[in-house]
Amino acid sequence: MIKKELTYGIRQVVYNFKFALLFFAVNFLVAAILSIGVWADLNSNLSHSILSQKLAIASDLVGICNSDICLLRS
Amino acid sequence: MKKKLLTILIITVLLLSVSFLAYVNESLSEADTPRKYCANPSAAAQSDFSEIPEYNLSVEYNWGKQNLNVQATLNVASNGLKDSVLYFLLPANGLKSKRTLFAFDKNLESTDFTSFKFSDVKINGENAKYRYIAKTGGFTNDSTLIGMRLPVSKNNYYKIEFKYSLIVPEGNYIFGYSKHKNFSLLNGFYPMLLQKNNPADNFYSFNACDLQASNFNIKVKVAENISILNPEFVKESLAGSYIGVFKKIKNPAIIFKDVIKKYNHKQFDVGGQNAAIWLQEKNSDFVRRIKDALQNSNNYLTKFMKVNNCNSLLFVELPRSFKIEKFSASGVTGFHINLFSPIWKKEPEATIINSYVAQFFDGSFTTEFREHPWMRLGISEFITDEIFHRFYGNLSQSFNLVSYLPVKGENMFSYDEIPIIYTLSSFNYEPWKDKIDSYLKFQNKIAFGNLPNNYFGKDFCNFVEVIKPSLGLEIFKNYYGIENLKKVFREFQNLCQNSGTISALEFNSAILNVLGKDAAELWENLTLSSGKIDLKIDNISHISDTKYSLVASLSGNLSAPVDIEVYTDKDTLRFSWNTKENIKQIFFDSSADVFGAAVDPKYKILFDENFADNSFFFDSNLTTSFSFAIHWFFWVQNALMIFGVFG
Repeated sequence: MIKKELTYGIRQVVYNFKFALLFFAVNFLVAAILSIGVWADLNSNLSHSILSQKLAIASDLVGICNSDICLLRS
Repeated sequence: MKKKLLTILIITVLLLSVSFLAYVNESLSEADTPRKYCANPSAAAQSDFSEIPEYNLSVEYNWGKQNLNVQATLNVASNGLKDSVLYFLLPANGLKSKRTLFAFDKNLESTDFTSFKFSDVKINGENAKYRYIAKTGGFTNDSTLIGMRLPVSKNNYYKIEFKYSLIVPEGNYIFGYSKHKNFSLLNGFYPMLLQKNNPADNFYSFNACDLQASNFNIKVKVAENISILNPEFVKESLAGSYIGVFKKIKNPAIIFKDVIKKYNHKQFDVGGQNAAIWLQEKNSDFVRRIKDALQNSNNYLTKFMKVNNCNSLLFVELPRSFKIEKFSASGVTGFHINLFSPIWKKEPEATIINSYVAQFFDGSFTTEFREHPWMRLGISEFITDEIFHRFYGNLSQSFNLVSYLPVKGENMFSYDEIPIIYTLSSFNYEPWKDKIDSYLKFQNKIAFGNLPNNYFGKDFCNFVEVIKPSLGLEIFKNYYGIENLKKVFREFQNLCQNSGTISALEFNSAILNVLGKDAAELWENLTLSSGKIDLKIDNISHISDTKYSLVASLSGNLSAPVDIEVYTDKDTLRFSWNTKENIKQIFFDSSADVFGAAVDPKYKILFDENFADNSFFFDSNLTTSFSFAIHWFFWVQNALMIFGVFG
């Protein structure tokens, strides 16, 4: 059953290869658009700040709250 | 193919629109805080009542109909009254319609409505007139506040009588019964006397700041099959019912339960106080945790403060069908135990500890903290955080994707929700970090030591009374250390007991006595600080071979000593700045290369809205922002794929 479904799925991907490519391209594009603002904001605030070093050391990359302060003293 | 392409494009546009709308919504919600009114603690500081007023309440509680018939008598000493009008708050009238100040932003259902139905109001035995005082801000129909003109007194006391009935609503907001009618909380079921020298327009209904401290004698008549959980009542039996008699209690909150509802009851001693815990049978395991929380709190507090006559303490687990999240009135604490409550979730411990600390302060001082609510609530919050940090270590915050998924219509072991995906990861953090978001929201509005006559919003009250003072104490701790702060609390207690009053002045004096003039000045500045506070390195310039110039600036109103550090490739130069002037220019010599500087490098001033600009380095570092942006990018990619599954 699972084997059949997997085979069917892979076949569908191969048959619609162009669509799959398009899907990933759109996914990449939208994610990039939504990330540029985040990058610009972080860069303008952090590029010349000592916080930048602290944040780089801290591996907490998910952001535990909305403010830089949350990552201080880590 | 074209059709699929079109679908993808539409989804993309929709996603971008949602992001844009979310951004706009956030911006608007910050700008457009709903106008509500809340109490004015600074005005409330001057109570006119020369003696503590006394209530005598005779309550008949019809459990089947969830109806109260009440005869309330209030005795108020006439000497000292400067005004001839008494003001009363009628909390239940906030649930009279959907157009009240309390209810306008809530979705009231038919079982939520209630109001006072007065049949008789008398002063000194004669019929009295009262008038509803309409609130401004479009709430002209609000009837939560009445004013009653007093006749010329021939006696030393006014005897004010109210006779009324009141439907007990379902307990979703202020007070009421649980969905299955096996549990009930009565709180604010009487006309609550207000400190009357407040301008009426400033009252925010349901904020305790303005309530006049009173003593209560209460007789509650209920059916035999209903238990009263409060420990301090005496039972007088009647046929088929009984009367619970309470004498000389403050701020009554009475909890009832049907005897059918199974609760485990434990009583124990906490530092000489009697504590009673009522937990639902399925949560009996939590007794140990609650007991530990209380013992830990007591151990922490008694090391630097003296315990006086506290009330007996009652802690009751609220049924899940009871929607009021938690409440704490004098001696009585209600809390929920969630289905999934590991200790790092902080609950119910945080509620228990916070309530215990607040009760401790109520009991350990000679009068109540009503005059300066920020002191009671803010100090309690700060000490709660300290206790938590001391006994439970750093708290964790989870990155929740889905915490609980409500399953409507399912009755799974009496729970109406089950955890599906709880967390992806959790992170250690310090307690004060919880408060930063709220602080950043309101920071530019107000100082907590010197409140203006009008300020708005329930969240705002919380900010002024809890968030900002506790952060202020945290800053103070950063300067002087927790041990010195404990000495200040001890001195504060001594001063209050000697003078018989509790006010911000006593707290300032305690700081002055223990830590000296500079510390007292710092505290005063912290309490008066307002506006957006931001310390910033504006500029470092290389003037000549070894000469440099540094400019640091402060926006906002705060005067506090801060350090300035200049980093060279050999050592660190240190300067100090008292921030009395908003811009500080420093000229210094350095034979070594200077590569950066920082103001307040240890981030002592938590009121600072942006720590990123506290330092400036000549070299820019792009890797951190890029690293974060890449992680965000992958996160968005994954989210889009997950959401795509639903498409």
